[in-house]
Amino acid sequence: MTADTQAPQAELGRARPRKEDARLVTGQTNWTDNIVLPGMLHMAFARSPMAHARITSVDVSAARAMPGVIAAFSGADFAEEQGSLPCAWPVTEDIVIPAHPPMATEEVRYVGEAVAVVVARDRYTAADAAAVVDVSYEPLPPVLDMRTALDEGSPKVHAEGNKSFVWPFVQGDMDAAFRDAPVVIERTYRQQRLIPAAMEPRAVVATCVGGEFTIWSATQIPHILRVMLALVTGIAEQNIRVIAPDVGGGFGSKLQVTAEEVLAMLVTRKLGRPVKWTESRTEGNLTVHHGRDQWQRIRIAADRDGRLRGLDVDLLADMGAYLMLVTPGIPLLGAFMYPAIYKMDAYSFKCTGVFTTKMPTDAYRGAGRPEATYAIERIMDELAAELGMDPLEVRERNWIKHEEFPYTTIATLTYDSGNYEAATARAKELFGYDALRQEQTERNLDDDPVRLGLGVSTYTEMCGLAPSRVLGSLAYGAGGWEHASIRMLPTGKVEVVTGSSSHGQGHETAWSQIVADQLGVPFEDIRVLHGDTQVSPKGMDTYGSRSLAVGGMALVGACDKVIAKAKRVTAHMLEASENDIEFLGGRLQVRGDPEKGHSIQEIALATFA
Amino acid sequence: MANITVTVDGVSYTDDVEPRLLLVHYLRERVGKTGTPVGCDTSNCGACTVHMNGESVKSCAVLAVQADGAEITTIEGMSNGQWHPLQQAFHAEHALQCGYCTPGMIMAAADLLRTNPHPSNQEIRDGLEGNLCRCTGYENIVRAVRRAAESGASS
Repeated sequence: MTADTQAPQAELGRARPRKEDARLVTGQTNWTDNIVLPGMLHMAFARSPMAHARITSVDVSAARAMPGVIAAFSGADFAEEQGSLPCAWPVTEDIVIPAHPPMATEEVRYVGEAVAVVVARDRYTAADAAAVVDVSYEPLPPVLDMRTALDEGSPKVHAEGNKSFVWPFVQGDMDAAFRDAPVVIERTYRQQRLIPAAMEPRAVVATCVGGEFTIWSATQIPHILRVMLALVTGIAEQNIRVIAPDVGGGFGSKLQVTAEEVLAMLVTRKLGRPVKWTESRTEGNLTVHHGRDQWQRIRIAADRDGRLRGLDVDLLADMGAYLMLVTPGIPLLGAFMYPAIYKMDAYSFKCTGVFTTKMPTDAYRGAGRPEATYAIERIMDELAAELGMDPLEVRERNWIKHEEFPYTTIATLTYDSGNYEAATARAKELFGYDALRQEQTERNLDDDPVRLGLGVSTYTEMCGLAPSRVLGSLAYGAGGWEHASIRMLPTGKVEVVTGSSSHGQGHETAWSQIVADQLGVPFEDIRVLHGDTQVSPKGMDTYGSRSLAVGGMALVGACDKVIAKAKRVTAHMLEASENDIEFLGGRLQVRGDPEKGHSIQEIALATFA
Repeated sequence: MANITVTVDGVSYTDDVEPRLLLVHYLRERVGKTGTPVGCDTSNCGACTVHMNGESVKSCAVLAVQADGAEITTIEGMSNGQWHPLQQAFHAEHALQCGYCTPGMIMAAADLLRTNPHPSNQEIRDGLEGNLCRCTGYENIVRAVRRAAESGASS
């Protein structure tokens, strides 16, 4: 290798201070709420204070009469154009997906559901006006507990009933596994409902000029949002541009198509002026989709030596009042994770999706999978206690041994590699596990008033949603692919366009590192563009730990195409055969004659000139 | 309407404001200091922290009229040609991901180092207890504050 070529893999694995920090530590950020457009108005919503009620009247006249208020609309005012918020994951053929108008027109089904929107010159006036919208409700009985929601006689959330779907998944002979099993343990665990709460509240700015819409949103999914806004509103997709500027965290909560985004589009179209809406934290706690909320009934059968025979999971999952973007699919992601790293003869999973009069649930950190880990690991502890075994020993008895990889689990996933023995041995050493067990025993024997508790858990997770057999089997409404393009600029600099959309992950740095290695160009010469459907026309966005795993590979594929093209150009310039051109450390040169060649950055200029 | 005069990042402004206008909205929407974000508008998260007469305040919990005659420093007033040691330290220690909490963290940390130039890790944690970060956990933030303290950020 000559002195002027860079060592390969110079960037990957290197701890680079991040490119995005320059604006983030100095306050030069571009959050959606920072955006100000000429003539921009502010929206505020009147929201239901009741979990379940019939709307008997909505009077916006007092709001509309306030100084500084430009308009006020009830749900009925948009009934013909607001469509229904999408559910892109119909998990079964007979799933019940109720209509979900962005603003309620007849019935409200959770506290916080929007019933009217006011539009004013500033945000304070808009809030004042929203407070005087006069809504009359006839209360209906709420449905709060999913365990009784399916009982006959339970109040109904929707006319279709409270059951959305039942999704079964059975592998192996469950009867054989449980019949005459020496040990059977059954437990019911609660996965509490929670509020995702990203630091940046949701915000949206919408404008429509000459029939062309631009939507800025604090979203994880500008590309999916664009498609869905077109489908919901009927506005042609080519006339919608969605921009996710700097986005302050998401954790799944901004993987959504929201009522407020749809209404911002409709209001800006109606009024012919840009509009902004930014939620208060209180509003966000009510109306950003919630996470988790399951009852897990889990049963295992085992031999007395701790060997697992079978696992039976019966899940009740609270959908809330409606199915939002991926609501029904979230608990099903757990279906593949309950068996975790353990071998067994049979496995049954069943999930029942239940409607209640609460904010819909949807993606939140790990989305279905940590719930599965919690349940299986809890019951492995129960098994250890039942058998008087060390909790690690009972796990080791059942986990996949390193020589057994690749291994296809009972949940049909193939794990390519692993060494749980070595990892656990190292963890025990770092933790001082044996000494702590010893201390625990001594404290117990001494009747010490201060006792020691030791907890262990294994954890594995499928992630990086990509085109795959599993994804294909789940009726998920998106292909899972990712897009990248690499643009060599005439001066040798590089623009990288990714379809994945950062909301704090550090794409600009990590993507630069990948491309720097692939193309052999300096890290500093690379700029990463993302989060704007006009700049990045294709993408699947950011969720499910997929950006680097899928988007990163798309980058590598795009770099390969650039290199292939650069080889052709180099061959032409050097009057050599393309097959004789090799690419080494950013340089295209004649094989066997490395002095004869050009850097890829020089080739970029040559294609311009 | 009340008439106030406020100095923000070294520039004096005189404005008529509603008595109920929050300082953070005054800064963001009247003065254009959008570097200071609003995270919760209930003084829980600390994202909107600025300095008022040298002491850190949560600007969502201060009325603009209360800042009449005051000197306000925001994150945008922290770098003077070059980054403040805390800005450098947050960058070097990877003390941010999405960065939404960062302006408040830096402003609160600056006030902490003013009153306690060499805080222990526990004192840093106590000093920043009013500021929430959702992405990183707090380890790297504590490291960044310690790094800034070691570089003499309080001076």
